[in-house]
Amino acid sequence: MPGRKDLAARARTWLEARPGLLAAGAFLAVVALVAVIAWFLVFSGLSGPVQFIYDSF
Amino acid sequence: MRGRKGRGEKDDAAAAALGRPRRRMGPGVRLLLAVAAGLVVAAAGLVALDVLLPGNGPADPSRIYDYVYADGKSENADFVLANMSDDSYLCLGSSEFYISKDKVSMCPQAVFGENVTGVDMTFVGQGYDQSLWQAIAAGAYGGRVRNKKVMIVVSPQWFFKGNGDQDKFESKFSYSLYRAFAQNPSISDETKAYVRRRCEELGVDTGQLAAAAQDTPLDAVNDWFLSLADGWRLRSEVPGIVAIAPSKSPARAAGEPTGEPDWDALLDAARAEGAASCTTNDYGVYDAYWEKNHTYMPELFENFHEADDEYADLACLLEVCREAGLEPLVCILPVHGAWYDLADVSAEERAAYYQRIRGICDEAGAAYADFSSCEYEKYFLCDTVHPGWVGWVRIERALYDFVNGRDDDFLGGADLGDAPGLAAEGGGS
Repeated sequence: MPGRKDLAARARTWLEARPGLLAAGAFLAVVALVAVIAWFLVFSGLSGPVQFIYDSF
Repeated sequence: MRGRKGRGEKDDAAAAALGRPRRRMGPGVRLLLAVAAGLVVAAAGLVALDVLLPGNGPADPSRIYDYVYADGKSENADFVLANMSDDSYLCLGSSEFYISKDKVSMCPQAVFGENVTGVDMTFVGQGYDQSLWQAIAAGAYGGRVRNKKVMIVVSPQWFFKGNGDQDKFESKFSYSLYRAFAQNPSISDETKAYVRRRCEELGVDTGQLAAAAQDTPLDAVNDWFLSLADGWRLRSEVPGIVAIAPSKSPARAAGEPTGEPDWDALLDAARAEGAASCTTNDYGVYDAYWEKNHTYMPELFENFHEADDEYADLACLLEVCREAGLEPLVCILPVHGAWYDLADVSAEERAAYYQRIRGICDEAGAAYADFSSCEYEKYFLCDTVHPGWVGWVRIERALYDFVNGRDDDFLGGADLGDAPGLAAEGGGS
């Protein structure tokens, strides 16, 4: 069974042999991270204080 | 793979034949370009989001929006003003605007909203919005609202010891409203400084306050981002507001004036409906509320003389109205007399509260609708806090008379003299 270091080295080698794939992954990661940040800050309601909801008499 | 390597070698050979060394893009440069491209696409996505989100302009004209009570409405001054009825008057208040026809059939939505009386009420504010929040809203809306007469519904609970629910102010703070207030040129620097200091005291982030005021160029950049984000959030809530807005009644859709409401008939109906709704107690509290809450008494041992900050905020609110060119009518709601007797809040304590509110109005030269004489009027309130059947009819009539420049038993202050209240009808405290 290959060890973790061995697996990591193999993964690094595999990626370095495919620079286009690495770049595509970086591109998608940037787009996804900006989308998540925008969702969190603007639409999720999680970045603001707790709302006291007055919903009944 | 072999094909790619082969192609690369051919390119090298072709470059060598031309006497030019071929530069291959290094992995670092490729990665950098990929990140840059990702940022460009993400930015394009945000621009697309801005285009696709609903706007704040006029919405479905078959509905009426003045009486909607919903999250995201009051903070969205652009939407409220774009969809305000022509004859509507801004009404700043709080939880009393949660009232609905199924509970009180003579609420403003029915009496004004379903008819063409020449008066409507545009509700701004929700539960826990006290004087400071209203001051910010007045400054945000003031310069842009068409009709300059405005009603301010003042609740006694704001003035409970410890300044009522001021500790909830931070959670109710609206960046968009505060920004509009801070950037309103009609509001004096002194008033802005007071409001800003109070916001800081109540826990609002100083960075947001600085951004709204654009203290420094960096704050102006922060303001751009904060206003963009808050604007998107408010726009995303517009569809929800439109969905719960009631459709216009046939009379309203027709647009022909229906004349002044029959106040006496409405009062008779109010008393009958109140009696039918309050069958399990003698306090005039509607049955469902009584069943759920009659053992709960937050008023117990309360007082109205340990809320200096709230009284000062109310004075500031009236000053903001003056600076913004608004003509306020302060609606002084009564407490539930019998309930507060049980809660050991003396009549003297209550009388002093009403007098202090009237005094603040007099200092500001503001008119008021004084309902303090209605403490023991059955069905004025529908529970132990909020206006009900009789109360709403009286409030609606007072506003109607105020905007039409007529005498009313409950109107006083400014140049209106004293308000005799219920005594003019031969009743009341």
